[in-house]
Order: sequence, then structure tokens, then C-alpha cells
Amino acid sequence: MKAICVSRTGGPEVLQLAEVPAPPAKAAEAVVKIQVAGVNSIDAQFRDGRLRIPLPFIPGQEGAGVVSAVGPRVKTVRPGDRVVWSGTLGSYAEYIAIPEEHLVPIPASITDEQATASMVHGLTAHYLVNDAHKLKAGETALIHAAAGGVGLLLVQLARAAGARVIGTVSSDEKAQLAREAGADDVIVFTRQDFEAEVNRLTAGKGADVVYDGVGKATFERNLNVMRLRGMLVLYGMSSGAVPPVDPAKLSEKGSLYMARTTLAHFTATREELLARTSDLFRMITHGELQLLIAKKYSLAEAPQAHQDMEARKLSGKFLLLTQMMTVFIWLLSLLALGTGRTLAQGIDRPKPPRANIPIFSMSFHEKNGYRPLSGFTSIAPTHQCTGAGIVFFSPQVVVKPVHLVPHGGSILVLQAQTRLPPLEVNEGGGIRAIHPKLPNHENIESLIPSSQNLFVLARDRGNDVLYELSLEDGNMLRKFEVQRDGPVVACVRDNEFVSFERRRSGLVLLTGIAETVSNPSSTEINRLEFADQGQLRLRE
Amino acid sequence: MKAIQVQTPGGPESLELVDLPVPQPKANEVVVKLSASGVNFIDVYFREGRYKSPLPFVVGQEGAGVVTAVGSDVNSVSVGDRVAWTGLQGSYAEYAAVAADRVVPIPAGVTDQQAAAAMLQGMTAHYLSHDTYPLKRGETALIHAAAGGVGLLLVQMAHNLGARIIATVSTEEKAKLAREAGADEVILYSQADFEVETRRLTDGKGVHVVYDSVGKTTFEKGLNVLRPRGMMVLFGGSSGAVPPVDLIVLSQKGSLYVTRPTLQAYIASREELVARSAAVFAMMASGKLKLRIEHTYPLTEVQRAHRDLEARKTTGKLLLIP
Repeated sequence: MKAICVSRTGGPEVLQLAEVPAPPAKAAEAVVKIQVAGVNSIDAQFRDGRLRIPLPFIPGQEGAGVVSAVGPRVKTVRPGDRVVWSGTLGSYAEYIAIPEEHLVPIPASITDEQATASMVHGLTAHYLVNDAHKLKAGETALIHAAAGGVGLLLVQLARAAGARVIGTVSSDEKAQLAREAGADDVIVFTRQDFEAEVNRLTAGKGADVVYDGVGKATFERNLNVMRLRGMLVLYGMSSGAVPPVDPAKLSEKGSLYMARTTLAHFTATREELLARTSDLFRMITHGELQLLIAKKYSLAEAPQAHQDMEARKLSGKFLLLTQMMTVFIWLLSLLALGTGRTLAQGIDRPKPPRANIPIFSMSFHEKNGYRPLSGFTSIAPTHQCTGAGIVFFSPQVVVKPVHLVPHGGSILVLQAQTRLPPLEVNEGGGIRAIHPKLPNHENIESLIPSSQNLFVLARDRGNDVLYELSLEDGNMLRKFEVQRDGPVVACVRDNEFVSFERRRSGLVLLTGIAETVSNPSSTEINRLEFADQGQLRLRE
Repeated sequence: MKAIQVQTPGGPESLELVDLPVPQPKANEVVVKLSASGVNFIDVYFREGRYKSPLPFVVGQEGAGVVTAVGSDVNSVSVGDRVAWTGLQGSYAEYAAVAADRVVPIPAGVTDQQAAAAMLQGMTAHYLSHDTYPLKRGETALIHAAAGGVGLLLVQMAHNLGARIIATVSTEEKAKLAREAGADEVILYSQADFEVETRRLTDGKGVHVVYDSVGKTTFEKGLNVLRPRGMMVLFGGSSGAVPPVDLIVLSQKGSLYVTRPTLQAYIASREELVARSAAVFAMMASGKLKLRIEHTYPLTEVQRAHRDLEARKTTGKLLLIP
């Protein structure tokens, strides 16, 4: 297989593409075909020898891909499962062997790129806001490097927690990004003194918490911008190590707290790791957390990726697409430019990725009519609305949706009057009804698009039935009987899953909830059985 | 009135009994006739000149008594009220003028002597266990110098909060006191290594929080007995100042937290001062918190009081009775 090997420490040039044997799976390990590897600053520290490791080695701490083989003792994953990991060296490669307990299943609604970007950066932002200092509504947080990889996510999560966010950044471009992520105030530290600014912005009170991944350059002044009994969380030292701190300083500056945290202590148990990732995946799926991809590279371009990361000009996540040739990535970039998005700009939307559809506007039902939801002029593609919602496709067409499902460049709409046909609305504003040719005119309860076809969950004389329809003409291709109790999981592509769950309001589509399925790669959908997830079987 | 003054900083002999005029209240002050004045280590530091105060000065940071006069702007306190305070210089005297917004009312059920004894140490134990690291039921705390003035109160409060307490003390006698106060485990640090013992007592997991007023001799090892994400609360340095801390050590030992709190930061607002003192007084009145007043001295014996305190033979509170 191809992999990046480091046989001597040094600059980006020591990242050499090499042909090495693919790793075998040991007893409790899985071999993963890597699709995406994340590039992190710690990789550069291993590369140049600031962090020591025996040579030669394959760098890269995190990535995502598909399980291709498992050792005999592996129980939780199977070939074909999509998984993501962090903290395992050797990810700049086509294949990697990883202990199964380090693997996190990727739900269907999350892309490999999103999953990778959620790991080191996402998990760090998550523990900082939820645990290192449990941020409360109304608190003020100072976030250094607010447009950095962790910073942009931290700003969003801090805002979601209800905090006031003051960010520091190095340039006006980054200030814009930090603002878009939700920062209330942004300090461009290259021309403004953040100490004076924070004290001005907080009327001299100071911040409740400072999240600092910068270290040396900011540490001393942090102590002057914190309120009495404030908390300084130092989670990185990108500007260099902070000299030893006299504890007396903490009392002099107002009985301050100080912590020096690392991600490993906040993902120490598997439960904690899974709880954090599932929380992040949920927020990404619902459009509550936006991931910014700085740039994508082929494996061979790893030196360039390191150079760009260390130049600190681009914000967001650097990724290696390990199975792609350089030329394809260029093509993808060109295509993205063509649609008005560059890979270096714009927040990456939830899967399926696409911009919001601007012709949609939305309002919510009130007693006497419909109240436009302020600022809601477009629908985030994964937004689900209840029957109370209403969608204006154009001034002429008004539809009450039960739910909206993203699909490629369009949105599928299941109408509240479920005997009406589902609609496909595309980005250009075109609307097309999909007339399902179902045997008994059942009520449709959920829509689940697959790559070519459409699954609909319908109620047939009191029984739940899953149909696979052709998206083109609505013809029924297959029919499945669905067990009444428990969530139901359907395989919509080779190894992507969706499920739907019975709730009080009816059946609700939950993409990406399914985590374990039995051997999906080797079976057709009509033979899938899910011991813990309910049963799905073909009715001939 | 009689008062204890320091003219030249130095040993206990520099504490001089002098005659001074009874102070008059400024607009925002009250004058209190003292019933009791607490003797604290901070008084020793001021006496020695380690902490600076303009000379000469009347010693003493804490007291309780009855208001005899109030300034023109004072509305919250009246003549005849029983009040207590801490953190204001001048309580080794028959009368003291103190800022009205820093005195707290003493409720019925608490004597003046008890109130004077509780202000500094009681409120310190309270903020440490309730705010700096709010102890939860089932958590484990390591408390150094558990038979000391703050220590015994901290052990009782931590016990009442449902925490498991591992205490360190220097002698068998003090071990007994710590156990009576509610310590679950007591380590005689003169006989056993507290790091090894604490690890053993927690099955290698470590403790959630270390309350450390000893400093230099205990700090490093204290970091070794914290569980990941645990907190070191350094609130004094009786063995000397802790040298600067390398932050990498904090991450290597488990994403640890360090704080160096002072009482002043936890009674900074009038609301917090009143609420905290009331909470401590309520614990005393209900019998949940037992204060040991070990010895009372007349003002004339102040030098002996300081000698006794510095000899570290005392385990309870020392009071001067003017």
C-alpha cells in the first residue's frame, strides 16, 4: 500500500510517499481502508522531532474509512462498517490496523470528511465547553485563535451553550470567519491589545473563562482579563511553552483557577468517547455545528498540507484524501469553484452537502395565521419540521410538510396530507411530484432516499411496510415488512444506514442512528437482520 | 482603651500593651466594643513584618462584640447589635472602628466568642468545600493538616457534604481529633508516605480534590494523588512557598486543575459575606459544626498566645478577651 513515511525528522520534505506492506489485523484489531486522514499540529511536532517517536514511522493521528478485515476477537465492527478514529498513529496511509475499541462508527448522515474533522478538533472543542469548564448561559468566554481548527468549533459550541464569546484572531479575514461562527466580539490581536479590549468589552469585570491553545504569547495577559475566581483552560501551546507559574500569582490576580488539559483525559473511557462523538454527529446532522474544511490534498501532497497548515493562512481542517489521486482533487476543487464554493472558503454543510435552497422560506403556525420565523429565509437541508410547519416553495405553492429530507442537490418533502405525493424540490426551484405506485394507496410516513431510489415507510392496513421506489417513475421495486416495535434500520447504500423510530408523534426519520448491523457488505438489503434493532425482512 | 500595638516588627516581645483613645466612627464605620478577638497566623506575619502595615499599628484581623457607635451614613447596623468581622486590622483592643459593610450580624444561639472564632477559619472551610471545589456526595478529598484550625472545620463540612475524607496529621493525638471530626482515613505523615497511602486507600484511582495549606512540602506529591481532572486547592503555605509550577506537569499527571484561593475573593461582595457567615453560624447553632476554642487569654497575655500558636501545639482556636 501507499503510505507517508518519516525516516528522519525535519521539515515537511521528510514526509515521503513510500510503498509499504499493508498491515494485517491482529486478534483484537480491525484493518481499515482509509478514505480521509486528518492533518493536525501534533503531526508536525512528531515530524520535526519536538515529540519523539522511534523512526521510521507513518504519521497521522486520525482518519475515517471502511473496515476491510477484522481479527478473530473483534466483536463490535465488521467489514464494510464505516468508522473513524483518533489517537492512533499511522493514518497517512491507505490502510491502518486499529484496536477495535478505538473505532467509532460513522452514522449515515455524516461524511467521512465530517467525521474526521469531528475528531481531534471537534472532541477538543466539545470537552472544553462541556467539561474542562462547564460553560453556562450568560458567561463570557475569551477564545484565543478563534478562527483556528479548534477555535471555530469552540466558538460555535460556546454560543450554543448560551455564552457571550470574545474571540482573538490574527487578521481581518479570520475575524470575519470567527464572527460567522458566532463570536460576539472579535479582537484582531495584531493591531489591538487583547488585554485592554477584553477589559473594555466586559466593563472591567473580565471573562469567566479563557480557552487558550496559544500558550506562551498570551498566558501572562490572560491573568489580567479574568474575573474574580475565573478559570484559565490551557489546552495547547502553539506559540511555545509557558514558563513555570508561581501559584501565588493565581491568588494575587483574584483566586484564579488554571488547568492544563489534554484530549486523552477527556476521552479516557469508551463511553465518554462515544458520548462525545454522538453529540457532535447529532449537532452536525442538524446543522447546529458547521465544519470548515481548509483544504484537501492527496497522500502525495502531505508535505504541502503541512506547509499550508504551518503557514496558518487558511482556517479550518486540513485533510488528506488517501485514496484519491492528486488530479481528482484538483478537479473537485475546480467543480467546487464552479458552484461558487471554494474548498478553502465556506462552511461545509451537513451531508448531503449543498447550499441552502434560497427559494424556501418558512414560518411556523400560530393561532391566527403563520408567523415568519425571523432570519429564517432558507431551510437547512436536514431540518425536520412537524405538521405545524409550512413551506412556501414559491408565492403560489404552499405545502405543509411532515418532514424534509436532503437528497443530493434537492430536498424531498413528505406532505402533511400524506396521501399527496412526496415532492422533490431542486436547488433551482423546480418542483416535481413523485407519484408512488403503491398497491393500496397507503399513507406514507417517512421518506428515505438512497442514491438512486427512494424508500418510503407506509402504513398498510395498520401494518408498517417499507417500499423501495424508483425516484424516476415511482414504480415499486421492492417491499419489506417492518416489525412493529423498536427502531427500524434500513441499509440505503452499501454501508450507509438510516433508521426510523416510533415516537409519540408518529414515525420519525433518524439518519445515522444505526451503529451496528450484521455484515451489511455481503448481503442484500432484503436479507438484513438486526438483532438489537428490530427486524427487517422481505415479504415475497 | 487598652490595645496591643507593634512599633517595631519582630518576635512576640514586639507586641506591646498601650493605652489609646477610643476610636470615633467615620461616616461609613461602626465602633465595636470587643468581646473576643481571634488569634491567627496572619497576625504573626504582620507582627514579624513579613506582611507590611504602616507603623505603628494595632494587631488583629478578626473579632466580635457589641456596636457602641455608628457613623452618619450607616443604616444597616444599630448601636447594641452584636456583630463580627474578619480581614480588618485592629481587633487586639477594647474597641475597634470597622467598616459597616464588612461586619455581619451574630444570630442568637451563637456566642460572641464562637463568632470571633468562626469568622476566618469557618468561612475559609466553607468557601473551600462549598465553592472553590463544591464537594459532592461520594467524592474523595485529601485534607492536609486536618487537625489544624481550618482543617478540623473543613473535615466536618466535607463529611456533612457526604464526601469521603482522607486526612493527614502529624501525631496520634491529632489523628484522634481528625477522626472525631469525621475523617474516614487518617494518615500520620510522620510515619507513612501520604502519596503511597492515599493511592492505596483509593485503589490507585486517586482523589477528586486535595485541600493543601501546607504548600512546599506537600504540593508535588499532592499532584500525584489526584485522579485525572482532579483539583489542587492550595490555600496556604505553612511549610513555605510552592515553587513555580511547570504546566506540562499538570497535563502529564492528568489534566489537573490548580487554584490558589484567598478568603477575600470569596467574601468580596456584601451579599456573599453575609450569606457565608450566616451559613457558618447556622451550622454552629444547629450543632453540625463544632468549634474548639482551645484557650482564651487576656490582652496582657498576648505574647504567650503568639508563642503558643507558633509552637504549633494548639489544635483549636485561640482567643484574646479584651
